Amino acid sequence: MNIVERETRVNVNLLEQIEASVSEVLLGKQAKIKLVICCLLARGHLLIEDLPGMGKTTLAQAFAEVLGLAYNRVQFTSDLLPADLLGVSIFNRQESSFSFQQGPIFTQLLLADEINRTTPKTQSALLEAMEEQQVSIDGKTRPLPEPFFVIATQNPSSHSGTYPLPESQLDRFLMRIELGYPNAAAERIILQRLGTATKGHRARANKLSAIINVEQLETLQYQASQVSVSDALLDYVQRLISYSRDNESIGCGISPRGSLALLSAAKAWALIEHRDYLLPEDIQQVFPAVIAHRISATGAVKAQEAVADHILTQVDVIYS
Amino acid sequence: MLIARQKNNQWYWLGGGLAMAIIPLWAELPGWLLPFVIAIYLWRLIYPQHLARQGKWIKLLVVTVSVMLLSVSIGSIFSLQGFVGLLVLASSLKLIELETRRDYLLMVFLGCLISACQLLFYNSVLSFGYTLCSLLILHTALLQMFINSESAQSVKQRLLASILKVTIIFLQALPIAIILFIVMPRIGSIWTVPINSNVAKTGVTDSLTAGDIGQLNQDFSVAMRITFSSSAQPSVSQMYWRGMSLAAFDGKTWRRVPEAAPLSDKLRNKLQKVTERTAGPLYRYQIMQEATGRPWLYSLSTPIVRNREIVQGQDYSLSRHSPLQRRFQYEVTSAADFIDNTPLGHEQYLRYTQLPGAGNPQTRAFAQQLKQRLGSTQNIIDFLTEQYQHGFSYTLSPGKLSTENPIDDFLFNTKRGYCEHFASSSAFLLRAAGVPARIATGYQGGQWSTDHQYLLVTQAQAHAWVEFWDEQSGWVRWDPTAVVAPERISRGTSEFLLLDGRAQDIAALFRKNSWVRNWQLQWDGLNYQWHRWVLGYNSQLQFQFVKKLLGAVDSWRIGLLILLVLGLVIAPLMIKSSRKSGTRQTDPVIKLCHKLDKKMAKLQLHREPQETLSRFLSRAAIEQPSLAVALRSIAADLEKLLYYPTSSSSAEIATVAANIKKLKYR
Repeated sequence: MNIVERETRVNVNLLEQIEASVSEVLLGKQAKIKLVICCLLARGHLLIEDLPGMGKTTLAQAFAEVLGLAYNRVQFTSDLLPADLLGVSIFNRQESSFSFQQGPIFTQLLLADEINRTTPKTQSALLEAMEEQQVSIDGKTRPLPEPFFVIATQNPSSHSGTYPLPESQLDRFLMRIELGYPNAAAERIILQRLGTATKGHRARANKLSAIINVEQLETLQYQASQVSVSDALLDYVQRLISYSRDNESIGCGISPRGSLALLSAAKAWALIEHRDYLLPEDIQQVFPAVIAHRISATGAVKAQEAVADHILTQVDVIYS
Repeated sequence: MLIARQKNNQWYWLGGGLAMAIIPLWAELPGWLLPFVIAIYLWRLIYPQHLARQGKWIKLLVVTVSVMLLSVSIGSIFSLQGFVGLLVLASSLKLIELETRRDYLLMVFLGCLISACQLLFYNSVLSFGYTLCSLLILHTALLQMFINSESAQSVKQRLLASILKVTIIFLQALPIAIILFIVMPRIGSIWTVPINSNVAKTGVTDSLTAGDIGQLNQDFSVAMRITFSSSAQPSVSQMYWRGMSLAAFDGKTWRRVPEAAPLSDKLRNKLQKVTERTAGPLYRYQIMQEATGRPWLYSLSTPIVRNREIVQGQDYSLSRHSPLQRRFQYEVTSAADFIDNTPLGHEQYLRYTQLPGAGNPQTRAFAQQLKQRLGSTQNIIDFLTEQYQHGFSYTLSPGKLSTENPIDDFLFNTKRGYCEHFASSSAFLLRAAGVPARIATGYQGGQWSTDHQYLLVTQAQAHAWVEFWDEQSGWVRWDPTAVVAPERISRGTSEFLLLDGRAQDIAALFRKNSWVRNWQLQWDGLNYQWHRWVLGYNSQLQFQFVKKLLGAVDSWRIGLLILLVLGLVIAPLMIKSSRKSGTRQTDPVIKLCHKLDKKMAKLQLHREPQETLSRFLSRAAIEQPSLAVALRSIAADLEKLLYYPTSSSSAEIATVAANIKKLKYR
């Protein structure tokens, strides 16, 4: 194993500390936490789809704390307007001019809670900002802070009062994950804590201390992008994509944006695994999270991930 | 996969192919069947889901009712029509539950079977071409199942591409089909299905009444085709294709008298001897006669045949034991100058001079006068010839003759008629004068094909003439029609129709155009060659052809020929595919992976597609502990070669290759 240990580089072991810290708050979800870190390193946005009360918000809060990022949370409701999110210009009487009042989107980590409860108009305002890294209001373009990372949560689309995101907007999220129920042991600890702790999980998450700063995060992101990829693995990625495009049982094939996402997520995973080169395992690990929400817009998360797994079993790792 | 989900137009291809397969069978099947099939297809197209979900009992009911309907309307279900009808019915009912890919493939293959069924009923070049076309459409439908409907091409491009692909596949199959046709043993029919005997009776009948041949004149369908194999050939005006002789006359109709015995052995031997001599004209030819539904065969006089299927009568006419239900091919040698002057027996004399008790008194009196005044038969013939040349005219619309004394009316009053009138009245006149006479029927003349390969005789050339008895020459042919209207003989009926001013018939007008006629003749020529060489390809012809092709008929020569053709077809494909896979395997590391997989397969260890090398080899190490060390080192080295781009050097590749080679059971 080639451990990345140059002076200018940030010690990758920090990532393990982040994982451990978050795990203290969100119990029994190490694998998912690792995926979130991976998404962050690949400079992508994250969509968490799950039932209410599974710890989506807790996860986002914990991450904001350990990464030392400015953090805002917006609860999306059906009457939320784009201005509520982006900000408005207000007339200042003393100066006799309009001054721009920044909305909650001007932050480094935005938790967009229950994104599919709001109207498509507001959804698209957020998704545009995600893609462009900037907001245009009153004819003026205002850049968003660096880094800008969105964790959106949504309820399964079958729930009432939801506006499902269209395929084109789902595509903007690098990964979509499902937290799922905790296992029995984790559940027991959660129940035991109820009696002992004075405050809830949210408070626990707020108490976490920052492990890395913004510069370190940006260096890590750079290091992830520098992971080397052999031709054999590019071939593998292309085989996976063309299988998804040629197979009639798959709703829609993976787009070029999807294949870029797959590769950058896999590189980030390789970095987490302390390597500066990519292995096929990296691609396979991130594949369902990166691909499942892109191949078909309908159906349950489980079914879509099953399709993604099916693609993996059908495409040979080494040659066609 | 559900068919209903398919976005491409395979439904239309399948529908089109099935329709093409079924439409030619229209005439053979009950009329309601085709609308029934179309209705089911349209229903299926409009409600794709609804119909497939029908209950078992409803389906059973539909099947029972339609099979019963079919058996009632065909009559017997155990006939060829019945079986084909069942097949068509089954294919259309299958549409109801067409749901999966498998059903669709089944439909395509059923369609192929149905389109081949057409050849059971019709076997011209045209129907063969048509069958090929419908097979092409059906195979295109088959291809639709396997192409990606979401590719970037437009519908039109995709359509052209798939038709092109199917055409290429057909062309690849063609040499194999041809060679198998040539060398496969021609086994006769192993099984037969009774065909509802519906061959219409056409052509010349064994009786002759006024008007009969006048009707035939309007019919330009093919009667027979003749190929001469001898260099000697009679001129077209001398070609009298004699069918049979009619001896019994009841005042209106001449009839054939069934003969008690065939030609005597003595005469037969005499005839056979004629073929051995070298001098004198001998015509050898092959006749391909269309199905007539009657047993009569036609030939130039005097015919000599060796075919055991053919019976020769005492009047030298040829016939078969059974009626011609399909095209029949036979070879004849004719000796034009053969004379049989065996004196007529008493019974025969009576037969050939027999007349009804009363009628046509004027003719009878005239005949008696002629006999007394002129005496010899030849004189009477000469006199009649002269008479006919003056005052008589040939027409196809002679008008009605008196019903009581038609011959009197014709000879002394109207003097207008066609071959039948002339033949009938001449024979009557000769008999009244005491000369034995009879009527011969058959065809006269013919048209040479454009390349002069064969002679085409149509029903329009049906003809009747007279034969009279002469003590020296035996039976002598005399054609009064040729005397009255020589142009009828020299130019043929179709042109005569125009001369006659009766060309209202548009078909006849078209025949006037030489290019139409030319084209018609060429088309007929193609059909003739098809019948002769493809449909008539029997074991004898096969033996001759293969011998000519290969020098001798040996099993090894035939085997070699088949292998050669197969090789020629397959070689380009093999080269193409090997090139394709060759480009894939240029990477030496990938080659190593292939080698490793093969080696591991020998050790009963198979890599799953999604299994990476390290995972696979560590699984293998658990199952084969003795190899664990070697496997781990190979895994590490090979993964490094594959995924760590800077490290692939030829030395390392060689090391890994050697390590893979060393893997063995211990």
